[in-house]
Order: sequence, then structure tokens, then C-alpha cells
Amino acid sequence: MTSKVYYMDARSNSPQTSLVSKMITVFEAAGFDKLIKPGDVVAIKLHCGEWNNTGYLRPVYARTIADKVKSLGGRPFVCDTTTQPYNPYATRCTALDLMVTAERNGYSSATLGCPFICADGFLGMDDYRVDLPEGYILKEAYIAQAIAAADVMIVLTHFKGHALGVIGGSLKNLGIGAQSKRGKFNVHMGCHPTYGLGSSAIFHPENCKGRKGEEDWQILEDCCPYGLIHVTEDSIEWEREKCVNCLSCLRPMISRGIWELSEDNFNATNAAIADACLATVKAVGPGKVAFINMAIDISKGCDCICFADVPIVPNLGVFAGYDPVALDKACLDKVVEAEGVQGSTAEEMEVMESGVRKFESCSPLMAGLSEEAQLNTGEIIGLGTLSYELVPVDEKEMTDVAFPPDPRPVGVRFRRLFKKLQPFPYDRYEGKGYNREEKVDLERVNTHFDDKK
Amino acid sequence: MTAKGIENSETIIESCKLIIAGLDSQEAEGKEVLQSAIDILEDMKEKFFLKTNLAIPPTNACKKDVIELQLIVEGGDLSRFPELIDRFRGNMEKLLKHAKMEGVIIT
Ligand code: SF4
Repeated sequence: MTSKVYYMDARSNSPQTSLVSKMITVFEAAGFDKLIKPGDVVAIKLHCGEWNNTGYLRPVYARTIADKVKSLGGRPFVCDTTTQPYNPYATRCTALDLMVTAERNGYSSATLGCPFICADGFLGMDDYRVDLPEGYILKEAYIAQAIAAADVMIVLTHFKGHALGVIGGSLKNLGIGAQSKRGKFNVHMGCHPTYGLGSSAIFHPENCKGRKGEEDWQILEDCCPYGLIHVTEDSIEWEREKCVNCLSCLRPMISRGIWELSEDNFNATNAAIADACLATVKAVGPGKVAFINMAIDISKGCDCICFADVPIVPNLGVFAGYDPVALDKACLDKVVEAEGVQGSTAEEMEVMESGVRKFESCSPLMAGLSEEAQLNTGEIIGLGTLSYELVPVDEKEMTDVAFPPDPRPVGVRFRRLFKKLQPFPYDRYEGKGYNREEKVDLERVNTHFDDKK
Repeated sequence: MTAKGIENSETIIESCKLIIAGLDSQEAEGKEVLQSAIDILEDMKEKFFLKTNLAIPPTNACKKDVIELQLIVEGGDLSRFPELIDRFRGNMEKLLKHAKMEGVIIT
């Protein structure tokens, strides 16, 4: 079976080829407008960006989809969920934090024309349990309640890299982003007997000199919200069997060499992302979930970090379809095909050539992770297929995304008004309006490259 | 497979040792910088940071510096030594900053 992926490239040179217009053009080409019936509650799921991240999708994309949904009679809301860790760099870990961050990043009802909500409640505990017998590793998942309650979902994804997932596409937008807090612990393998951090991380208590030897030992105890880390007089103890994998202690522990993350934990989580994505589709309803990938500002890191580096490849375009595996695979193939951007991590990691995998070198925290793990798992469990047909979509006149307030020609709009309120000062300097030099040497300031020859 | 960050660090340590040996009694201050780089990297080899991809760009930069330093010391013309050792010191400082892993988060 082959899935259709509707696609437009990233070039823009007219109103019809603005990325906003292209997004709606592929939305229609993929038939998403037929998905929404009058009265449908439509969740638009996206990543609203961490505090000070600048790579996340501009709110105008979600606004445009919300307007489109409204024009079809649907009731849209835009949403994200609370994140797993509680460390100082996690600025969306409660609904309060999430809403403050989202608003600072431009996501509010004022900009979206519909509510922005935290889909899994104040502490991330509002969810809906889904049985998943077909899961590769997860046999159940916990989906953010507002998402599970929606009639239809539009998954609007910024396609980029990720420190754990290697890629952050549609699968990750749902496989992590649509899970409640306990859903995220599940995907991250919290307390898992083989792949959990507690079971698989390598613990080096000998790298901690304890209360006597570590100046700032207190942070090692205080970084765990579950109280599982105890600094003794000359070393450290960790109740690893109770570790939920929240990763709040990540930086203090790994930067001191007290524990080493395990590849198994990351690999298992990547497989579980596909499982949890499938669970989300099941929760909303098969055929009720539409996916759009914006492959632009393709940073090596996810929007969940508090900065965004130079993109590793140029903007690639806009992709839409019903199969998230095919969609992510199409984007991934385009990244491999592209040349790297000078001055980016792609150059530092020596993966600039077309045909070379970029994300595997640039994005993951650890070497050795596969950029295809989520996708392969997705195909195995029947979420989608790696085999896709890229359907190029032609640009079209986009009247519904044109500036709407006054459709009259400007002459008609302003002639009467200018009779009353004239912005140009015709009454000054004999109709010329301003005090200016009649003639100057323009060649003197307009220097060109050729002049230097 | 040895992580690239560790591989780079081993090259840096070896080069630093050869440069120190090649300098005899000259450039005492430079020798101090090189010796302290050896000590820092020996200590870091025990830490997880060098196994991460984050360690590759900053160790690459330091490796480039010591290879250049080694070449000029072997060539016997030390006129660029102060400039290069300064650059190496700067890149080692950047490496140490990266090793604190500020802002590293997985959600
Ligand atoms: S020890 Fe486990 S539960 Fe505690 S902060 Fe670290 S990852 Fe979270």
C-alpha cells in the first residue's frame, strides 16, 4: 500500500505562494475540508515552543487553519500539553507555565481567533486511557483529554530534529505531544523493568564526592521531584527502581558524570512514540486525524529547547496527508536529499552533502540512534506506511487567506477620506510637500561590487 | 565504537604531550595551558559529556588548534605560537562551558 503525501516546495514569490497560502492549498488538496462537519469540535495540535525558542511555528499558521475550520462550520481550539520534566529549562510543565509561555510566544485567543488550551489539565493529569494490543512496546496509552474529546484533529507539525527522537515530526507531535503527563512517563519508559532509566542507566556514585566534597550538592537532591536522590557524606544514593524517567535531574547528573543515559532507553522510547501516536489516532477516531508538516526552519533541536540554532538544511516545503508515517518519511527523505547549510551543525558534523543523513549526526544527544526508528515502528504496528507517493500541488488563487477587512480598490476606499484627511502635505513648498535638496550625487552612495574592481 | 568526542580528546591529549616535549624550556606559559588541557580532558573522559554528540563540535575545534600547534613546533618557527595557544585556550574554555550542558532538556 502506498500513501499519498501532498506537497508544495518552500519557495514564495507571490501571494499564492506564501507559506500560509501553500499550507491551505495542501490542506484542501488532501481533502481535509471534507473532514469537518458543521458543529465539529476540532483540535489543532501543535508545539507552541519553549521560552526563548525561536524556531517554533509562527501563530499565523494555526490562526489560518482555525479560520478555515470556522468557515466550514467547525469549532476549533489550538492546544499543546504539559511537558514531562520539571527542570529550570522546562517552561511548559504545568498548565500555568504552558499558558504563560504560549502567550509570550504569540499563542492566545487574541491571535488565534479561537481558544488556546492546555489539553491535559493543570498538572497534566486529565487524560483518556486507550488499550493498545497492537502496540510494539506499549499496550496502553494515556491521551490528553481535550484531544481525545475532539471530533476531528488537525496535527500541525514543525518538522525538525530532536535530541531523543532524532526527528520531531508528526509522530512525535502526537506520540509525545498528545500524551498526558502520565502518558509521557509511559512513553519514556518510566519504571520499565528493561528500558527504564532506573534499569538501564549506568550509575557512577564514585563521581560524586558527597556533602563533604561537592560544593553545590544540594541541587542533586533538590532536582528530583520524587525525592529519589540522596547525597551522603561522601557519595550519592539513587532509588533507581522508583525512577519515573521524568528527566528533571538530567543536567545535574550527566554533566557531573553521575549517570550515563542508555541507548536502550532512547531506542525504546522512539519505538513507543509510534505506539502512542497510534493510540492518539484511535482515541480521536481513524480517518478523523489530518496531518500537516511544515518543513521550515529545520533546526537540529526541537522547539522544546530554549533556543534555536541555524537550520541544518534550507526550508523544504509543506506536506499534508492522512498517514503520519508517510508524511514524516517524505520530509526525512527531503532532508537527506538537501545540502546542509553553511555555518550550521551540519557543517560542524561534516554532513553537508546531498544524500547523507543529517539528523542522526546533528540532533540526538547520543550517537548511534536511528532517524528511522519511529517510522519503522509505525509501519510495523499499522499506523502507516513508509511507501508514499509525493503529489505535487499547484498553486491557486487564495481568496480566503487574503487580507479581509475592505475588499474595495484603494482608490475607492481612500479618495473620499483623503479629501478630509490628506496625509501628503501638498500645501507646503509649492505642492512639493517637503524641504529637500533638488539634486544630489547619488552615485557617491550607491557603490557596487563592480566599483572595487 | 569509541565516541567521537572521546576520540578527539585522546588526540588532543597526545598532541599536547608532544608539543610540551617539543618546547623544551621555552614558552612556560603555553606549556601550562597545554598541561591544564591534558588534566581537564583526562578528568572529563570519566564523564558522560564526551560520549554525547554535543561534545563533537567543541572538541573538533580544540583538536584543530593542537594539530596546528604541533605543526609549528615541529617546524621550529614559533612566531605564531602565542596567537595559536590563545585560540586553543579560548576553545578549551568553550568546551568546558559546553560540558556544563546548560539548557539541555528532553521533553
Ligand atoms: S531520579 Fe528519576 S524521577 Fe528523579 S528526577 Fe531523575 S529521572 Fe526524575
